[in-house]
Amino acid sequence: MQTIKLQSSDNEIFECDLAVAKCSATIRTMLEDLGIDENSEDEVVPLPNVNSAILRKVIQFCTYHKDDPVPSSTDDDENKEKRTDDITSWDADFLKVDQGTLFELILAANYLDIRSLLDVTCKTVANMIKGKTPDEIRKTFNIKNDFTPAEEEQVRKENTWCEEK
Amino acid sequence: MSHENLSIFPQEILIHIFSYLPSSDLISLSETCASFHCAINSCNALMRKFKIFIFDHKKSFEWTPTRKYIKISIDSQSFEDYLKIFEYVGSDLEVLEIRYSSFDLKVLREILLMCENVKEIYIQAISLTVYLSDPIEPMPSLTLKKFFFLNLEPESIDVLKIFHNSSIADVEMIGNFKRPQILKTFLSSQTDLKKFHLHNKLDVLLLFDDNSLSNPSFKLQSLKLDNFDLYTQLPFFSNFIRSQSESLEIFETNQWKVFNLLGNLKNLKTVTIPSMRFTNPEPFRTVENLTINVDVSEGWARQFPNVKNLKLHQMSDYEYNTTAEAQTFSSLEDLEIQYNTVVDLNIPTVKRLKLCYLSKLEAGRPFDYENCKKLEELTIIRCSDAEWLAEYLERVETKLRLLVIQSTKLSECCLGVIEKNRQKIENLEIF
Repeated sequence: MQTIKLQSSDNEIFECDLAVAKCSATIRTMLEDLGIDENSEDEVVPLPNVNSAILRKVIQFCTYHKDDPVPSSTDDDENKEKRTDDITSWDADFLKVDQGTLFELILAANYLDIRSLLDVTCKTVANMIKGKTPDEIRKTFNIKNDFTPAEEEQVRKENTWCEEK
Repeated sequence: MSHENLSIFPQEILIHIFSYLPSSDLISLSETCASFHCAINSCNALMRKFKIFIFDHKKSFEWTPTRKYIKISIDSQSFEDYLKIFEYVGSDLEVLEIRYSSFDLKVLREILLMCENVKEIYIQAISLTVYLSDPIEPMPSLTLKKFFFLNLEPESIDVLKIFHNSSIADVEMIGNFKRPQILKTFLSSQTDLKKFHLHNKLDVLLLFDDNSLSNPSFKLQSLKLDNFDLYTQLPFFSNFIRSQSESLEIFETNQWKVFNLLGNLKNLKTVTIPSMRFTNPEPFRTVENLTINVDVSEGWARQFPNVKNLKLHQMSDYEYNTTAEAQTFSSLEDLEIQYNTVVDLNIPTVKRLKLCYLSKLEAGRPFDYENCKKLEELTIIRCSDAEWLAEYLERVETKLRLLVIQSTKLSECCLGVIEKNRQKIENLEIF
């Protein structure tokens, strides 16, 4: 089986199956565009935006999902309510990580362009937001309320009709 | 860079996360911090969901994205809010339903300019409308399958001015209409009109007082016109009918004198007329569905030899037994009789018979049981006397597929007969 070497931002080298690495559209493009010879033992693909802890997780995810069917790209129907309750138990277990790791996985999935990982991590964050008030959202994600009082008033006004709930 | 803080995530990722959330959560998020507010505002798809939710809470609004359907009530106070909403959803809409009152039609024009893909429009005009001044430019250019207009304020007919650049296949208008010139100009602008139904509730409508509609661009399949004055408009209306002679299949009117003109219509299949006081030299062989309200004169049935579906309503029967003549029909399958005092039916081809509002019959029974062997469905609605049913059920040999008895009181004896002959009735509905 063909393998490929990936280098994390903290210079750790990971050797993994070519099929696994190709779950990432970014790596696929790099291999094609940069003409890196797949048979070369010494070539290393540098991934300066992903640290070793996160890269290890990403490779674990892609190894498990490498045989999944490619989802059709026509599912972007805006009118269709997107589901967040369809996370598989393996994925849910895989994402039982601290918030920092979850966020770094999202950024890595975005950078490496791994659609399935991005979807499932974003769904997980969406589930953490669901049903919360602005204050609760701020607490959950440690976000500062950076509206000026005038801006806050303006936003409230925009949303007044909804407050009648 | 610290990745601990969601608020400094790239906007595209925030939008991806938010896209999984319902509009109620989007509202909370927009109030959480500036970057979330900004992300939601930057994304049309999120904004749409968000705005719809806001407007949803004003009860006068209903939006069904899957059906691309919107239903709103507009008045002069609220229309500016609604203009905003159409900026978001307008181009997606296929069905638009509007109730408006005291409202500037220019706003409706602006709304329609944003709904370039709308296929069906239903409008209810409730009270006074602010007129449209002429000329109004630009006008929306729509291709509509259906335009329905319920008008409770005569002057509201101004709404038609908005559609001069649009092509409409089916126009249905109910209400009080004044100023026929607006209607004439509108009809003259149409080329693909297939169905035109105008139920005018007010006085007579002077739609045909000149030659402007004598040879329109459209070819109608279906025409329904009520309360238009033929005495003064007959020559012009005749020209109009002649121009539709090849295409018109369905014609419905409450105008008494129109019968003389039907002979021009070569493909007429379905006719509803108030009376039949005249005879045509040639019978109407194409007509299969016939409804006559009020009155007929001798020889009426021979005028329509190929009728399959017949409805006779409120026949007076003063001078002459009208229903007996129906026996000359050779292919009649569906028959509906309402409000007649004398029913003398003997039509062996009838399969489905509906009797409504019949009082006590002089002949005691409405049809000849021996002769109606093909009868499959019998419906009796609000008849004061249906005791004949007992005799019929005792004597009938064939099985009834369906017997419906609605709001009709039957004696214990008659009910007993029904029970006794239950095996002759496949489906029985009494209510």
